[in-house]
Amino acid sequence: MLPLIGGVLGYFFQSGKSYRLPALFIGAGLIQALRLLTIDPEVIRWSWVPGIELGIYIDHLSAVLVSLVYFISLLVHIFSMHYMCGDPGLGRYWFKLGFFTTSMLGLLISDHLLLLFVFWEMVGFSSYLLIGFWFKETEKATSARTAFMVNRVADAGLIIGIIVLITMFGQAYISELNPIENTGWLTFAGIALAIGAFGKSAQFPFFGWLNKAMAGPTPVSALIHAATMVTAGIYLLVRVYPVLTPVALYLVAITGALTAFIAAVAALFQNDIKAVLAYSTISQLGYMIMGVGVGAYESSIFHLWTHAFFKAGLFLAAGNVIHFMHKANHDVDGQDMRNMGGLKKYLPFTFLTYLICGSALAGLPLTSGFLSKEGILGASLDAPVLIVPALAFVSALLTPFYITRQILLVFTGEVRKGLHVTNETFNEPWKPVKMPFALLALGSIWIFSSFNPFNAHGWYLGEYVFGPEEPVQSPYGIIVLMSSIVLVAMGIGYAYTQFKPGARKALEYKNLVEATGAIRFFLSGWAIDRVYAFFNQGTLIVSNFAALVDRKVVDRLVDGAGLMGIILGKGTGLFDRYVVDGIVNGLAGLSRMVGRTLAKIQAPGIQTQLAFMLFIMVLMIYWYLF
Amino acid sequence: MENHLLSLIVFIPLLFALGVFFIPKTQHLLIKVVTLVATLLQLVLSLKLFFDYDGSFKPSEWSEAFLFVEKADWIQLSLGNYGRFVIDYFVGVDGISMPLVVLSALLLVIGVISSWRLTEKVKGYFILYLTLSTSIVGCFVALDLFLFYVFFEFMLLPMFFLIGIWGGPRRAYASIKFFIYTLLGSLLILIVMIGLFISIEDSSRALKMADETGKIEIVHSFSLVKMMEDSYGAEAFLAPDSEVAFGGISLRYWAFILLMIGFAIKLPVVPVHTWLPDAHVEAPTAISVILAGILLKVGGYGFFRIAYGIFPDAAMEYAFPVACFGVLSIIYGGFAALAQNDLKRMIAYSSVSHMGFVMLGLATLTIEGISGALFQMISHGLISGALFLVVGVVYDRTHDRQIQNLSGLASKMPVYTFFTVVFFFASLGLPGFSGFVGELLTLIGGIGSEGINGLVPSWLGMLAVIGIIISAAYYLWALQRMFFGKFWAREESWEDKLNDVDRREWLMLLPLAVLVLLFGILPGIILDPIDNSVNFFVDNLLSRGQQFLIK
Repeated sequence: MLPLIGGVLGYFFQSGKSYRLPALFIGAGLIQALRLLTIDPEVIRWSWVPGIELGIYIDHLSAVLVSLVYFISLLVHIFSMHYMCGDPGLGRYWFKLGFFTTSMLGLLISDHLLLLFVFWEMVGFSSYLLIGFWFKETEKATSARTAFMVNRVADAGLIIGIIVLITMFGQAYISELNPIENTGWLTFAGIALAIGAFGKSAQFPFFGWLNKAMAGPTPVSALIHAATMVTAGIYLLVRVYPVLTPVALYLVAITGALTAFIAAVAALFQNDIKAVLAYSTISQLGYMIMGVGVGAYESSIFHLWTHAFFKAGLFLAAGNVIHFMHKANHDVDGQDMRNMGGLKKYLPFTFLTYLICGSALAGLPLTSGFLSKEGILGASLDAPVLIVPALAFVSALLTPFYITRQILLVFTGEVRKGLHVTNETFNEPWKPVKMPFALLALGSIWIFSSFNPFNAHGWYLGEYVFGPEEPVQSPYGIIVLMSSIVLVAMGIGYAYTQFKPGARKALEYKNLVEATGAIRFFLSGWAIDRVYAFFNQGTLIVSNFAALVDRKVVDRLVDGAGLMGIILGKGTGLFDRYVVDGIVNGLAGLSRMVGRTLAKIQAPGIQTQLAFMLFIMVLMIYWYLF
Repeated sequence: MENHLLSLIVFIPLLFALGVFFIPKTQHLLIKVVTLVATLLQLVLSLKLFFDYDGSFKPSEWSEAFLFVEKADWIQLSLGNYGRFVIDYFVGVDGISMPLVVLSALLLVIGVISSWRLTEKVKGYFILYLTLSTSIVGCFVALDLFLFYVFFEFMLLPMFFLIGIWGGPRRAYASIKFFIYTLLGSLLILIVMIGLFISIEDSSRALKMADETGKIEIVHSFSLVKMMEDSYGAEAFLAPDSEVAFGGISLRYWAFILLMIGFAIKLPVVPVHTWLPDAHVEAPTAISVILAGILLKVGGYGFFRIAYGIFPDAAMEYAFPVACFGVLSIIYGGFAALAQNDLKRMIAYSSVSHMGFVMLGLATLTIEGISGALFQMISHGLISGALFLVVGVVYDRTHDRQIQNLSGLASKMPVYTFFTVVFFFASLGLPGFSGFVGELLTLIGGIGSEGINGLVPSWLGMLAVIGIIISAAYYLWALQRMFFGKFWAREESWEDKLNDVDRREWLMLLPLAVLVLLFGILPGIILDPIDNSVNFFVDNLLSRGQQFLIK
C-alpha cells in the first residue's frame, strides 16, 4: 500500500520548477516496493457500494511487477529531466506521468476484477493525455483520440467478460479464481477478456494504436508504450489463466503468433526510428500473448521482465538520438532514419546502449532476451496447430533483421543530412541521466536474469513468483536452442550484407522516396489505419443516418401531428362558426321570427290580449283534463 | 420544524416568489439575491434531509417505507352512491426520492448563479424560476397521485414561458413543441390516474369516517401508498384479478403502457425524444441545466414510483420491450449525438443516450440494475448540468455553439479546457467519475438479470456497451475539434472575448466537478443510505408481480 500513497502524494505536490521532486518520490516508492517483495501475499478488502466489496491483493507476481514499474518509471523520470527540459508544459507532464504510474500500480495490485477495470481505464486515459501532450499539433491530438478509441472498443470486451464472470460464475476476485466447469458462457467470457487484453497489449486487430501512440514524448513511449502499460494485457491473461477455456487459449495463442509475425514484417519497412521500435514492441508482445496461449505463462512473464529492460533502453536511446537530431538540424524530420547515419561518432554512449539492448531484442546469446524468448519458442511447439510455432520462428528470424537494419542506418556509415554540431550542443546527456542507460543496458545482459546463459527456465525470480516447479525437459530443448541461434545469426548476417556502410540499400535511403505498392502497405502497418478509417466512416454514416431520421422522420411526424392538430382546430373553428353557430343563429332567427309574429298578435289592445289569455287558459285546462 | 421539513423545502421558493412579486422590477440585484437566498435555503434544508435520513431502517411494507411523512386532509367530496373521494396533502420520501430532492435543490442554486447576468425581464424570470423550483421538488415528495399530478403539470407552465420568452431564436417552435409533447404525456398519465382513483378503496379510512359521520361509505383515495399496497375495491377494473380487457390486453397492462409512454416522453426515450434537443438548444443556459439535470429525472422517477410501483406484474411482463427501448435509446442517442455540430445539441442527444441506461437498469428489476438506474439519474443530473454550463461559457462569449467554428481553445482557455475534459470524461464513463458507477451497475444488472430473475436476456446488456464506445467517440471528437490544435476562431473579434472562466463560473463548475469525482470514487455516499429502500423496492415488486401473474 505504501508505495501507492507515496506515489500519489508525490505528484500532487510538485510544480514545474522543482522538477526533481517527482523522481525523488518515485525513488522512495521503489524502496517501498522492494520491501513488498519480502512480504507474504496479502489481501485487503473494503466495501464500495452495497453488495460489492473491492479489494487489493499483493502476491509475489504483483510485487515483482510493481518493483519493475517503479524501477522503469524512476529511470524514465530521470531521463525526462534531460529530454523534456525547457518544455513549457513540464508541470503538466510530471502530473500526467505520475498519474499514469499510479494507475498502473493500482492495476497490478487490484484483486477485484472491477477495480482492475477501473485502473485499466485510468491507465488508458493517462496514456491518452500523454500521447496528446503536445495537443497544439492537430495530428498528435488525432493520434491520441485514435489510441483511446481503439482501446475503448477492446475495453468493451473486457467489461463484458468481467461482468459475465461475476454475474454468471460468481468469480470476482483474482486471488480466488479457480477452474470451473467449462461452458459456452465461460468460453465467451474468456474470449471477451482476451479481447480486452488484445486491446491494451496492441494485438491483432487492435495493434494500430500503438504506432499512433508514438506521437507522445519519447520517454513516455519508453515507459508506457514499451515497458509497462502494454504489458497489462499479458498480466491480465496470466491472472485469469485459470478460467480460460481451451478454445479461448487457442484463440489467444493464434492471435499472439499472428501479431508477432505481422508486426515483425511491418517493422522491416519503417523509416521512423520510433515506428520500428513500436512495431517491434507489438511483435514482442505477440510473443508474450502466444506464450500465455500455449500455457507457458511463466516464460511470458519472464519475457515481459526482460523486454521491459531492453525496450525501455532502446526507447530512451532513441529519444536521445531524436533530441540530438533536433538540436543539430532543425530543418529535417528528427525521427526519420533516412536523415541519420554515422551518429556513432557523436553519440558513442547512446550507441553502446543501443547495441546491447538491440542484441537482447534480437535474441543474441548471452543476452536476457535470448533466454526469455527461447522459453517461449520452446513452448510454442506444444501448440495444437503448426501455424503457431511456424509464425513464431519466422518472426524470430525477422526480429534480428530489422533491429540490425536500424542500428546500421542510424549509427554507422556516412551522415546523410548535414548536421550542425557545435561545441555548445551537448550531445550526450549530462551524467546522472546516463545512469538509466547504463542500468537498462546492464539489465539486458544474461547474468542479471539467469546464471546459466542457456537455461530458459533459470530466471532468478521464476521460483519466487510461481513457486518451485519441477524442471521440464522439453524434448526439443537443444533443437530450439540451436535453431534460435541459427535464426538470429541469419537475420543479423543478412541485414548486415544489405545495410552495411556503403551498401547500395543504405545509400539509397538518402533520397527520401515515397513508398509505393507493397512497401507502402507494410509501411502503414498492413493498412490497419484504413480498416479503422473504414469503421470510422461506417459509424459516421450510421450516426448521420440517425440524425437524419430524427430530423426528417420523427420530427416530421411530430410536426405533421401538430399540423393535423392545427387543421383539425381550424376545421373545428369553421364548423363552429358556420354550422354550430349557423344553427344557433338559425334558432335565434327562428325564435325572433316567432317572437315577432307573436308580438304582432300581442300588439293590439288589452281586450285582444285578455281574449288570447283566456284562449290559452282554456286550452291548458282542456289539456290538463283530458 | 422537524415534521414539516419537506413542506418547507417545497414551499419556500413559492413564498419567496410572492416576496419577489412585491419588489419593484428595476431592483434587479435585490430580486436575484432574494432568489438565491430562497434556493440556498432550500438546499440547506435538503442537506439536512440528506443527513437526517435514516437509511438503516428496513421497511417491510409500503406504509412504513416513507420517512418525513406529512399528511393533511385537502379535498373531500361525497358523491352519493359512488362513495367519497378523498384527496390528501400527503408527502414523504424514501431512498428513491430523497437523493433526487437533494440533487434538485443543488442544481437549482447553480441555476440561479448561472442566470446572474440576466438583464431582460428579470422579475418575471425569477418568479417563474421559483415557481418551477417548488413544483419540481413537490413532484419528488408527493405521495398522493393527485398532488403529484398538480406539481407535474405545474412544471410545464413556467418551463414553457422560460423557454418561450428567454430562449434563443427558434424559441417559439421549441417551447410549443415541448409543451405539446409533455402535455400529451400528462394526458396519458391523467387517464390512468382517474382509473386508479376509481379502483382504489381505502377501507380503514372508510371505517374511521364511519365513526365520525355514522354512515358507511366507500372511500376512494389517490394515495400512492394505498396503490402500491394494492388496496383495490371489489370488482375494480384495474385490480390484478380484473378480467376487463381491451383489444386482448387487460386494462391493467394498458394502464402500464400509457404510464410508460407518458413518462417516456419526459425521460425522454427514443422515439418520443425530439422535443429535447430543440428545447435544450433554445433554452437559456440555466434552464437547460434544470431541464437536463432535474426535469428528465421526473420522468425516471415516475417510472419508479408510479408505473413500476403500482403495476409490478405488467412491469415483469413487459421487461423485455422496456429494456429494448432503453438500449435503443442508448445506441440511437449516441449515434445521433455523433452527428451533431452544435455542441448543445450533441449534449442533448447524449442525455437521451444516458437516460437509456435508467430504463435498462429499471427493466432488469435487479438490485444492481435499480441502484444503477438511480445512481445514473443522480450522476447524470450533475454531469449533464455541468456540461450545459460548460457550453454556456462559450456561448456567453461568442454567441455561437457550433463545434467547427472554434478550435485550439486549450491554449487560450486552459482552466476551461480542464473542466471540459473532466466533465466530458465523466460523461463518457471514465472510472473515477460518477458516470462510470451508474453505467457499470446498470450493465451488471443488464447482463446478470438473465441469471437472477430471467427478465432481460444478457445480450441486451452487452449491446448497451456499444453506447459506451460511441459516447467516447463523440466526446473525444468534439474535444479534439474544439480544444486541440492551433487556436482559431471564425470571427476575429471573438479572440478578445474568449477569456478563461471567471470567478462566477468557477463557483458553478467546481462544486459539480468535486461531487462528480467524489461520487465516482465513493459511490457508497449515495448508495449506502438508500440500499434498504432499493432492496425493499425490488423484493416487493418481484413478489407482488409474481403473485399477480399467477392469478
